[in-house]
Amino acid sequence: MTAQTRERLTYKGESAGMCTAPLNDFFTFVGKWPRFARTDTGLWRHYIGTWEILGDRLYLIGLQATMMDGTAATLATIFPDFPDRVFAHWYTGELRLPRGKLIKYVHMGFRSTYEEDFFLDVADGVLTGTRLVRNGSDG
Amino acid sequence: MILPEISWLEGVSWYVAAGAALISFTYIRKRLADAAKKTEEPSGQWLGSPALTRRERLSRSLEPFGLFAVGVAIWPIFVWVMVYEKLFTVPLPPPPQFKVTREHLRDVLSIESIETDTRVTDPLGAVPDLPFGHLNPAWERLKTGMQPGDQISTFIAPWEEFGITWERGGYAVVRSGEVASFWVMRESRC
Repeated sequence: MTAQTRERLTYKGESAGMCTAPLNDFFTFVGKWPRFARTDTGLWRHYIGTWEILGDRLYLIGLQATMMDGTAATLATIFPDFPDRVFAHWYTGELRLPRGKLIKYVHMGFRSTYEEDFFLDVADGVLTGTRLVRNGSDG
Repeated sequence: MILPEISWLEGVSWYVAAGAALISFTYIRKRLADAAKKTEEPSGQWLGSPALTRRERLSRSLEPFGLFAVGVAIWPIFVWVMVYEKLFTVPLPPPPQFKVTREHLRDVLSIESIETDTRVTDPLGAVPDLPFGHLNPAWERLKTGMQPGDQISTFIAPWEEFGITWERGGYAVVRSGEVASFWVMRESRC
């Protein structure tokens, strides 16, 4: 499995790559996976989501993907009544934002290690806390 | 049988040529199979990789060449593995399926109370005013499968996948004391 392309998250006005895919949980819980076109091995989930923490809530504000029929997929493709913003109330867990220099590259998933990991803890789509973890130089 | 005398350089050349031919044949066969699939399911365009580092991009672009070189170098191992698999491999048992049983059930609730308690609100109006918000279609699907006399219960059940233990929760339709169907709508790592 190849290293995976990250999601994008804006938090406190700063945009960063996110090594968590909360939209996967949505597709799992709803029991339907959209017919996204295959890309390459660096994007097994076949889409890139753009997220935002606004107030203390996690929102999905963009989606970049291509459907099997070649048309571009947007947020409205998945959420027709919410084309601009979707409250991710289904998501409970942590969001991982790696920071700093790459310490150890791992050619699989989101497993590469960076100097720091900034975690945002989320419960039912609401931010409950943040944590900064400094990773050792030996990875 | 008399083997022809060849120099070490000729031997290496034959080895590499055989490996290159084998790997190329396997690659072309795979591409043809993929192309056949694409005629059924048109593929889209590559999305780009805005969040990849330069090192990750370099690694990804060199990957095919590296795999080809390794394949050419150790092709007899591939042949041995293919032959071994044909002769000795027994089919794997089917992967375990997630199940909800009576032991996992918690509280029996009425549909009315569930639908009242699970409405999601949002100050920006980014969620539908329905039970379970954006997950409402799955809830409606669970209800569709209900029969007269069925009850709905919450459940919490453990699940292990790829060596990771999860706790899954949701709602189950209970018929005559047994779980008739269920809906997972929460999952957390233990």
